[in-house]
Amino acid sequence: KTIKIATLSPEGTFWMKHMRVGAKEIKQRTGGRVKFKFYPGGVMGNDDNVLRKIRIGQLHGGAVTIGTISQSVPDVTLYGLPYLFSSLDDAVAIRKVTDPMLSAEIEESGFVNFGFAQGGFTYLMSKDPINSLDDLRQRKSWIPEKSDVGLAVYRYVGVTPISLPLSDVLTGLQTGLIDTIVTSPIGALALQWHTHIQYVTDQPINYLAAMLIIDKKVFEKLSREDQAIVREVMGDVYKKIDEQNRVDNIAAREALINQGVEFIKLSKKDKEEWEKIDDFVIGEMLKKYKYNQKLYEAVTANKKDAPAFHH
Amino acid sequence: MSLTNKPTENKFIRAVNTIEDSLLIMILTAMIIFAVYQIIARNLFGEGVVWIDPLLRTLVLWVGMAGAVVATRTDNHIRIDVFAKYLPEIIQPYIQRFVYLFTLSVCLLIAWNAARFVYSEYEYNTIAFSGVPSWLTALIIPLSFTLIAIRYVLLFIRPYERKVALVSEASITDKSDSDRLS
Amino acid sequence: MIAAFSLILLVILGAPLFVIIATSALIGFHGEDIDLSVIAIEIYRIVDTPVLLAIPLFTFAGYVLGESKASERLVRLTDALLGWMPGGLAVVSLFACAFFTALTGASGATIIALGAILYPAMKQAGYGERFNLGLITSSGSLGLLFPPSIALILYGVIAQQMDLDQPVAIDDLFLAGLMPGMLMLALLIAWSMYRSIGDRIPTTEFDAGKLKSALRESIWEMPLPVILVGGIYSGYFAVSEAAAVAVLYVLVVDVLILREIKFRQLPTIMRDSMVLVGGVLIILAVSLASTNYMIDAEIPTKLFDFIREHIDSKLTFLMLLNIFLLLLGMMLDVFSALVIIVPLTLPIAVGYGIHPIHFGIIFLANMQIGYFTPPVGMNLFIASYRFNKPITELYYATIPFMIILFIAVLIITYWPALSMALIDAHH
Ligand code: NA
Ligand code: NA
Repeated sequence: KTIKIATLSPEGTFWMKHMRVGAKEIKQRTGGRVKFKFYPGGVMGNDDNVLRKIRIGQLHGGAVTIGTISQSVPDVTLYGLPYLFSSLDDAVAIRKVTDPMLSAEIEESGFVNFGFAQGGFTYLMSKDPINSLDDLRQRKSWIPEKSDVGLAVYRYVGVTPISLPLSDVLTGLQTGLIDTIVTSPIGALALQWHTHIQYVTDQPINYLAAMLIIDKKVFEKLSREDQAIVREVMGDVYKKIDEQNRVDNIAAREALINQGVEFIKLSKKDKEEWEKIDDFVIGEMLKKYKYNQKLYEAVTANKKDAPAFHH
Repeated sequence: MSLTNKPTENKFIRAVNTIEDSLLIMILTAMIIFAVYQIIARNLFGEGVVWIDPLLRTLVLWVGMAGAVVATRTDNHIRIDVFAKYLPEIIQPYIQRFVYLFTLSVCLLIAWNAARFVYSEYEYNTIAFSGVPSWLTALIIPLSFTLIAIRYVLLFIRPYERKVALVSEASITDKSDSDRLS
Repeated sequence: MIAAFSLILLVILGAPLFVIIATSALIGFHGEDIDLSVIAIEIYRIVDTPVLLAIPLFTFAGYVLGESKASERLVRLTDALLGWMPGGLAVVSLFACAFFTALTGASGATIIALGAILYPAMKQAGYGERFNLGLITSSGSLGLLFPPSIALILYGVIAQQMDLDQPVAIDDLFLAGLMPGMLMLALLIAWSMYRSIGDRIPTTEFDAGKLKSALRESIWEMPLPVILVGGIYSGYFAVSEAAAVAVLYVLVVDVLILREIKFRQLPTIMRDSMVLVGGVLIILAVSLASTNYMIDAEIPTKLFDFIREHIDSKLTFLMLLNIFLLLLGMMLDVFSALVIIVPLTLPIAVGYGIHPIHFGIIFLANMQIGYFTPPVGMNLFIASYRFNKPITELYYATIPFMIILFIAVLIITYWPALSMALIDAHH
């Protein structure tokens, strides 16, 4: 059986390298019964299209951002709540408990899941320093489309960000059409946006994560032993990618500093102002998504000021 | 106004033509207004409207598909029309009918599968942008291919006398296009 | 085999191209046992492609200009300004097309929008029909190497993910594209001048008075390119929004100020221009599906693997690459081609000592010609539709331009300094 997997991640990235190494091992250990075919670089379309193609059976799985299946599993949006984790290590600690719970929910919705890989935190990055909410109100900000959390943050701040297609962001920064973006250090480097920003407000906003899912109907046609091998190998691959991403994010941060980008430490007073955002945004998300109370409380276990669970 | 129709067409088809034309014009007008508003809002009020960009991209699909429907009225689609004109004149109408029959079958097949896609979007409750469901934005695909198929049924009954390939000096202002469409 | 044969028969019998492409996709997907609603999923991807917004808006703007007397004014102005130089208007047209394609991508917008002004202008100035058609068709992809070309940006983003030793900065790619792009322009200019002398298109003495009056009557249209470039580079609007600005500007000038177009004419102009857009867009839409079938079946990869077996030196690599990319540019859109083929070919190229930036320029220069390579280069069909000409006439018309640009591609390929010199000077 050949399992067809699509991803936005381009060929040549360590994501793809790790996945190919995993696929090779699976092919060997199953005696060629289970093979993988990858469609990297977004050639099958964005994550929504990958999902559509899994539904009609053209694809059997995808490496997608976890928010992709928020329609069927609302809890996947929990990791993306603003100011949820205080550090990458905090995220690791919480995820030890919550990853298996989330995986179980995803499996119930009809997808086999092999764990999650972090994409690091997003930050405000800008041409002029941003310390306060007022500073942000003066900026011309861009956020990616379909970012619930990002839009809610800007609703709270009271400005409407500028929406541009991804392909226009680099020239937009260059020409001054926009001067502020929200993205992760890895993202800023990959898309070369870092060449046009001077400041990063050193307070993580939200946590990014991706996952590999395979259609359960397809997966269950494999023999029990083969299923176990795929689960073991791809589970390991995702652990490796997760760990490598953590390292890379720290490295990307260093790279930004080396390029002369300044990380702004917020004063205690400013920090408190920013952290008021989360009451509002998490409140909106609680209204929008029907979260599982147990998972919500587990995810916010280390966050003292998290809004109480309600529907 | 040159949007009036030839008296030879029946009343119903004339009404449909007018509706199609008006829709096409309305979609383009909406695109211009939204796109211009976005730029003005940003430069004058310092903020954008988040849903305008995805809406504009949706309207590109709508204006394109609606335009393709109107183009079908005169069988005005891109084709390689080098060889057909060398065929004997007597068999040409038959060949044209055969091509029309094939074309309308393919369009119906696409329309049917597009309808299944739209239904699946409805079933899975996919959102296109800002709360607008994607079954609604994708609806134009089955709709337009059905309308194109219907146009080819009409053409099958009465083949269009195509002059495109034979006209040697085309008028660039497309006065001829306009006349043919009306 | 039977399927391919029937499809060719249908082409010959004059079936619409969108039906042929759709049928080939449907047959392909059916053969792979894939649910045929995939074709609708692919058509719906039009919505994920922001560059396409330029097509309807610029086309409408072009039609409005075409209905006004803008092309006559353009002829008088170039005549007054460059009338002393053989091929003056052709040179202006080439620059206009290159500039416009850099803004809009090679999606065909150049041909359908600028064609409305340049084609009648060149005709009026006395250029031959074929030369005129060939110039506009082949210039529909001429700006691919000039900033802010999205194709260059995308190449940079892909190359950076690939863990290469040499850096591939997008600013450097922009620099690298300048001279090769200029080489292509220069060769086409030389050819235009040669043809214009051969066709005895009259030149005139420079006359300040004539220039002054030509400038005065073009006072309203001349600022448009300046506003577009200036507006983008000073951050008033994005590249993808330039089309909306053009529409607004042209409407204000031609309907409100010059009043060459009456308000009641607008519905007809709108409809006619959108019919043209519909004819082009439905083909782009079904091409997404046929491209997706090729990607699903890994046809480009298999084709490249086949070619790779015959490589034994840098020279054969480059030669086969040129042929392969031409074929690819004819079949795939430039974005799919970049995403699929660059990761396969770039490591090999680097292995042969080709700099990744130079490779990007080679890649795009080839893709550029692919757009009008017979028999199925997309821009040939768009031009055939736009100018109401049989496709064979477009084949003949573009041949000289293909030869010239192919020579340029060979120079670009085998003379790396042309791409790299500006970067070396800059660092
Ligand atoms: Na092409
Ligand atoms: Na294509």
